[in-house]
Amino acid sequence: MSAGEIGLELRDVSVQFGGIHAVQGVDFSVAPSRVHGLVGPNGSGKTTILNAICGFVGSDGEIEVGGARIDGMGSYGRMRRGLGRTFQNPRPARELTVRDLLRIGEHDRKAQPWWQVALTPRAADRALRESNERASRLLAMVDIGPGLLEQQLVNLPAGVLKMVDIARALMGAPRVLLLDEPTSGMNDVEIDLLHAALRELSGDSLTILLVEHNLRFMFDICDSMTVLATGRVVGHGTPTEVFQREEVIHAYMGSSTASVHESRPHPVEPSAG
Amino acid sequence: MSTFIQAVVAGIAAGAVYGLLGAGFSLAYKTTGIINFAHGDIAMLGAYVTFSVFGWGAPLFVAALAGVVAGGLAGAVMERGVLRPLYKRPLVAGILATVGVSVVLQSVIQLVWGSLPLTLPSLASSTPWRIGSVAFSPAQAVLLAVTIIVSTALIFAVDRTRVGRGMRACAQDSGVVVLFGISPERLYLTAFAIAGMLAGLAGALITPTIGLTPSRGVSLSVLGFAAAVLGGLGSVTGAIVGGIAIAVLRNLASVYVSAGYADAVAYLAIVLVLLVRVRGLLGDDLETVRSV
Amino acid sequence: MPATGSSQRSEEAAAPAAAPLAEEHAARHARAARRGLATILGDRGVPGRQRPLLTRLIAVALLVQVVPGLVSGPNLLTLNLACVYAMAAIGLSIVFSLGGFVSVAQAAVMAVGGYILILLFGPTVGFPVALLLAGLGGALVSALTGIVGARVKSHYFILISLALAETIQLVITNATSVTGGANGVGLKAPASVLGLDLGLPTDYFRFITILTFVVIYLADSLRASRAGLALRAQTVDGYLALAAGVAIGRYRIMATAIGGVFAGLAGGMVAIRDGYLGPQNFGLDTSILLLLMVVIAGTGRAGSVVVSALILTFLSQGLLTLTSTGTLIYGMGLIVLIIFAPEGLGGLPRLARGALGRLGARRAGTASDDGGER
Ligand SMILES: Nc1ncnc2c1ncn2[C@@H]1O[C@H](COP(=O)(O)OP(=O)(O)OP(=O)(O)O)[C@@H](O)[C@H]1O
Ligand SMILES: [Mg+2]
Repeated sequence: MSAGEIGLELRDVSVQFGGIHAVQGVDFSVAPSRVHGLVGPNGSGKTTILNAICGFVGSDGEIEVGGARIDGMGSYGRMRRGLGRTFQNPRPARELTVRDLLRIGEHDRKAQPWWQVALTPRAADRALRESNERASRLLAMVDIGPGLLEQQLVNLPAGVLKMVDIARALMGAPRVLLLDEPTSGMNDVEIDLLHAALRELSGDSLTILLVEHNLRFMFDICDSMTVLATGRVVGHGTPTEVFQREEVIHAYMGSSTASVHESRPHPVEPSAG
Repeated sequence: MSTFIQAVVAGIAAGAVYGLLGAGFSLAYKTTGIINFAHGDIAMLGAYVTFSVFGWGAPLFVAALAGVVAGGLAGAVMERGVLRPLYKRPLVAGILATVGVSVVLQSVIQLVWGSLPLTLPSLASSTPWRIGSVAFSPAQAVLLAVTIIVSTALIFAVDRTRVGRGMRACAQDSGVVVLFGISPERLYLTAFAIAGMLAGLAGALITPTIGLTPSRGVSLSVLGFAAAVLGGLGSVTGAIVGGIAIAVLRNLASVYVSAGYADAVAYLAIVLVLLVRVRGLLGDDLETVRSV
Repeated sequence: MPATGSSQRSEEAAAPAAAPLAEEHAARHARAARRGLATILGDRGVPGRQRPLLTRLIAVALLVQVVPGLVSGPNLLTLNLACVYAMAAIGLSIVFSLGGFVSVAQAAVMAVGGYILILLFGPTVGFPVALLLAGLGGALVSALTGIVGARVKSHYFILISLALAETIQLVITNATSVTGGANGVGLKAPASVLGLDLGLPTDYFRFITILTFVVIYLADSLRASRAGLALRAQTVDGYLALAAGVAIGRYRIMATAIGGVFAGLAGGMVAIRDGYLGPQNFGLDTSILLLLMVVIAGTGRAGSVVVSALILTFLSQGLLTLTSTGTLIYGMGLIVLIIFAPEGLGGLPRLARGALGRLGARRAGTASDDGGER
């Protein structure tokens, strides 16, 4: 990792809701081809940080993507800078099929004026075929066949829906991918597939910020991690370092197993460091 | 200056009735989320019933009460018969169903009372008192007094009673009121019955001025809707304030701009208010924050 | 579960994870079977692709040749009106199902188009130009509601559109020197285009049919395009659309503008059909009628909107002009339709299947509770 090569950087980012400080003074940076983990108990502000990066909520502080400041832009402009994100609970829209969702993901990668479909149907068909191929390739990465494209989103099991949502985010060919609890709802086979896919993607110089409660998964895949508690950073480092810290062990390892995303972890106590 | 004061004074009296219409509209919306385009037709039904009962020799006051009861019944029947199956459906389904009810009510009125315009005497004399150059009639005083009494009672009921608080809770989460041992369906029925009664009252109060025609209901619905939205959908006080604001604006516009465009000026003002304050004048900030 | 009951469940229960081949085949067959009817309705199950232009052209040619020989007199006039309404309703369905706006101003937007055409069209400005300008005027006015509407909550938008509608009505009634006020204004010259004399109901039908098909084609293209998809995403889940980098506000305004073009064209065609315009053509009741067409069509696809426009125009022309009894029946009909056809016309077959299924289920002694589920 050479200096100056930074995929995503947050400097002193804070978010307030009314009088509540949901996120306070968070800094971290992620280099391309790296997976950075964001962990912390429920309500510690992980999703809020992703929302701040995407511009869904207002925030203070500086946010950079690929060395360019994006804070101050609207969501639309930020996404065009190469952000992609998934949702903790994707809403399966009625009447949308998997193909529709994936094409929506492609939205700003390829501008297509609507009249193209009317005036040059052949070009539109070609674009559609390309988009279908891309979608099939992405789905194949997680071992989902192209037959799924015609399925309605409402009919998908939770794990598959999350997988499709990730594919949707990838359709926009992002440089920085923000994943919000991708493994929740997935079974072990799916988690393994996701693991392999993320490895492959980060090999392709994608910057990945991963929010996750499944610590086993995080331990395996993350290059570095930030631990949050009540909106503040309480720990930084490689997974091994982080998991040796007292607070983190206390917060997570104390409770039953490595996979704790079902049970509510104890809050991490703020540390002096 | 005196024309100005006159326009404002007359506007306040007329606006009081719009406010009553808007309050009922708002109450039903607050509880069920449905925008009731039959509201004005219920008001007309109330007015026509008042007309008939008065015609049978009852005192006007009693006749107006009959109109109120008729409005309440119409509201209740509409809720049970038409809206109940539609709560889980998209907004437009409910709205268009109320349009259907409006068409039905209008044609029923036409079948029973005919389509010729009728008149109803007002509760008090309309020979004005004069204070300086400003005229104010006992009829207007009655309008204002009734509105003040009724809306105070209504605000009290919504704030203090169990059912009223249930209605407020229902606006945020209909599932929650079940926990308090209140049935949401009962609340919906109550809300529409009260809204219907308010409409019936407004009808009986306003028709001495505007006359009775079956097709009048639509414009009353629009007025009630505008009053409710301007004040902030869901707020009873807001609806009264909104109703008065609209009437005053219309009067001022017809004096200073042009009578033909009075309504347009009022509408323009409403749109501007909505652009500046997206929830209307007194709307509460209860819109739920969507989670990502 | 008895055989009759399971048919409706199959599509719900389809196991998607690996999407077995058999399932895929079944779906493809079902789609192919539907396509026969869909060609006429202008409706294709797969939103991914447009139906070939050729099919559409053949359909237009057939209609244009056959219908004027079969229908005549007042029925043809009503049919012409239905086509006009269909155009405006398709526009409204774009505003509604893609823009996410419940608008009661569509008839007022038609009015703008209508008056533009009737005032401009004459010896100096030709019919095609005047008609195009009518569409443009409609687009501008409709976009205005979108610009305001993108900033307020949905319930408030209804009032904003209402305000616009009433204001336009007021302008028409009061600007007597231009619009003729309540007396209305007449067409200055007979219109003809493509060798068709639009004063003749038969030729008018031919032209409006072509125009309607153009509108259907454009609307379907919009829906199938990525912009249409972005708009649909936006109505379902704003954050999803934002995450995909959709400039939501701009797209919604675009939807209102396109919906306005169609309404403007429709308004212009009203002027040609009647040779005269007055404010009563474009009242709130017409706006509501258009909204009903959209909601009763259910799916938001242009073809189903045309079908519901045909049904509702004939119903309203038949019932509303008769007596108050007719009006009563009309009102009741609306209520019944809204309550009992939750997905509109498009949902009727499903509803029928559901009812059959329930019947079978009851016979077998089990209760099935879907059908009206949303
Ligand atoms: N739109 C909002 N308005 C008000 N408060 C909010 C909003 N979004 C989040 N919060 C608050 O901010 C805090 C952080 O929430 P956030 O969703 O970021 O937590 P999280 O770490 O993602 O939790 P989880 O692990 O449960 O997903 C919570 O207290 C939450 O209630
Ligand atoms: Mg979260």
